[in-house]
Amino acid sequence: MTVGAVIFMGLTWAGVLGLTAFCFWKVLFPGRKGRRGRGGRKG
Amino acid sequence: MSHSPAPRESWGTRIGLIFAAAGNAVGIGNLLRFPGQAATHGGGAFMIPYVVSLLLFGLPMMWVAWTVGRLGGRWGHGTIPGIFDRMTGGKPWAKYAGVIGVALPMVFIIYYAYIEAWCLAYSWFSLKGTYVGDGKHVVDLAVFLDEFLGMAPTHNYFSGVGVALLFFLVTLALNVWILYRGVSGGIELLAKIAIPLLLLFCLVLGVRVLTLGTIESSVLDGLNFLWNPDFKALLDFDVWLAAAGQIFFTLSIGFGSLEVFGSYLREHDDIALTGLTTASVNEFVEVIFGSMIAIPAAAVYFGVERVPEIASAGTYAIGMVSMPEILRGIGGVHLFGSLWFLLLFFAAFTSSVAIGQVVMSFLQDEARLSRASSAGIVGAFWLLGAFPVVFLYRYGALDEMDFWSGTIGLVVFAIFEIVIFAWIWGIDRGWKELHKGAEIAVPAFFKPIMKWVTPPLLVVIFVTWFMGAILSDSLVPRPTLHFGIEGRAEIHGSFSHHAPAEGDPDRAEFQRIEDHLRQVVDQAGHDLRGWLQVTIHPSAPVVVAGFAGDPALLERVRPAELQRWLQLQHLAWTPPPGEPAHSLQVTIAFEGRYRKTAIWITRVTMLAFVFTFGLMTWAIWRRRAAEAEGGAA
Repeated sequence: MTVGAVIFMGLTWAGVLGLTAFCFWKVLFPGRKGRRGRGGRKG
Repeated sequence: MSHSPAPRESWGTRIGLIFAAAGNAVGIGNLLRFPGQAATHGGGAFMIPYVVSLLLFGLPMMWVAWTVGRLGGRWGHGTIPGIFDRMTGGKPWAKYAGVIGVALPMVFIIYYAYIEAWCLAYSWFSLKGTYVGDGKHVVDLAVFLDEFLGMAPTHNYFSGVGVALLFFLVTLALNVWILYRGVSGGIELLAKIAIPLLLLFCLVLGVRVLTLGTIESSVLDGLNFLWNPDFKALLDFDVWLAAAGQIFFTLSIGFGSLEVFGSYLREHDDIALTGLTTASVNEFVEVIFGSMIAIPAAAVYFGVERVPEIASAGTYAIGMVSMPEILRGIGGVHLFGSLWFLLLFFAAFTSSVAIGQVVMSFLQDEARLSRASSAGIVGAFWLLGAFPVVFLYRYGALDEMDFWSGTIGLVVFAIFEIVIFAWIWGIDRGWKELHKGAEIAVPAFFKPIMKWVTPPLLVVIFVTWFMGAILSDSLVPRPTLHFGIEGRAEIHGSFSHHAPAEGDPDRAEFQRIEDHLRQVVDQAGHDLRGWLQVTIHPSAPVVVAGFAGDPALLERVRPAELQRWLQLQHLAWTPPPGEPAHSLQVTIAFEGRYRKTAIWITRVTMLAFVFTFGLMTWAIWRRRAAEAEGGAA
């Protein structure tokens, strides 16, 4: 594989894996709600 | 007398909702369309316009759809006519503009379920080894697919579209059953089973491809072909348009399904993170598994130099001709073939039920029908629409539906949605609504993007696609020309043919003959069939020895013209290994298809759905106005 192919594949795969991991982390371990509307329900 | 509508359905669990939304977004396109597009549009460099499109309208539209949907759910509306009506403060045009958000999903699921049915059928064929052959005879997979769909003028492997129809009916029944079971007990339950299975199948097939070793090329050659960046491609507008189109299709924007999913949420249920998670799971399957299976496998088996031809042959050719051929070649059709097609089936199934729920929600929320009645009506519409899809497939009915509902319609719907959200409802209110109960803060730069960048970008995409269709003359249903080898299943060896490409010196002559043949079909006003007795030799041009068929064809077309037409396509026969070269006498079936009638039946069918839902919308709002007057009195 060329260096260009390794860089593009590596960056894209890492980006997608990182984003998916971040999202599932937040879904499975929800922290304090980021922003609420007025009178937001108890999280 | 007015009566209260039944309480709206809701999701069982958050992870179930995310799986269902991911199932909606993940479809056949993730595994077949994406690698084909990337391979033919700059390789790794394709990811630049792809990510730009994701940021400029993919993610913004994803969040807009969830926000619009959750807002609608609060008002008791899951579908666009009711939601647009409320968001515009009751502007009469808005609910009718919203009708496209119900009619187009209905049209989409009709033909998408047919493609889904092919995957189910091929999974069955793989399990049974139908296309494996018996050692002496190799099944020609391109002909096998064409005959399965009734596209070929011959009947070597299938006598008609009966088998395809049977699998379509099974698929339709499964879809209607899931819709009948409801949001939590049907769609969510299906997603909880199908998404983990889909990921498992992807993993098994991905590992199998990565461990193929080297046949014609290595796996690394395949990955290199797909990811090696060709930066010159970035100067080509078509590459940017292809990336934008891929983002559009892959995220299921403009189908109304994300809105209906959002409508089953409560006011402070998170949508910012849910939308992002949906997109990320979709991208995970598309970018990682989509690039790991089909193209690298094709490179290993056929050699990397043949990949451009395979990738540009189209989504179905990669999935249903090349992949079975590879699996047949490397062994393991029964296991890996079944897994591959079940994977595609599950990807499509979770999408079709999600989009089907749009119509269900319209009937339940707006027409106040029970879930059982709604499922019955959706099933009946589905069955009615199946007529052109299955029986007129050979005339291009499916492509016609795909153009209007699955391409142009999506963008029109998205334009209405973003304009109403960002300009009529107001971006400030919309932004605040998006963040109610949000687990994450959406980066602030998306707010001006939603208002100032996404709408004009969608208009550019719409104009380019529509003008492209007009300029390429594809809106005029011109006749198509086909031929096939009679008795193909009994002939050893392989056949090949390819029309002269752009720039080929034979191209002008080939087009002149094709134009004349099309003119003859157009003037006849019906399909024209003929049979040619030909002699074919591995190292000599094909020779036509006899010609019979429709009188209109015999009268206006000379055998020499058809002989030249076949020669210009380089029709060739290669004997099986070990068999000496010799002449072969075969009968070639020719068919010129008159498409006008079929295409107009398809267009009228689509318009009938728009009209039906438009009429229902008119009647529903009229009834509501009468009820409101009665209540006031």
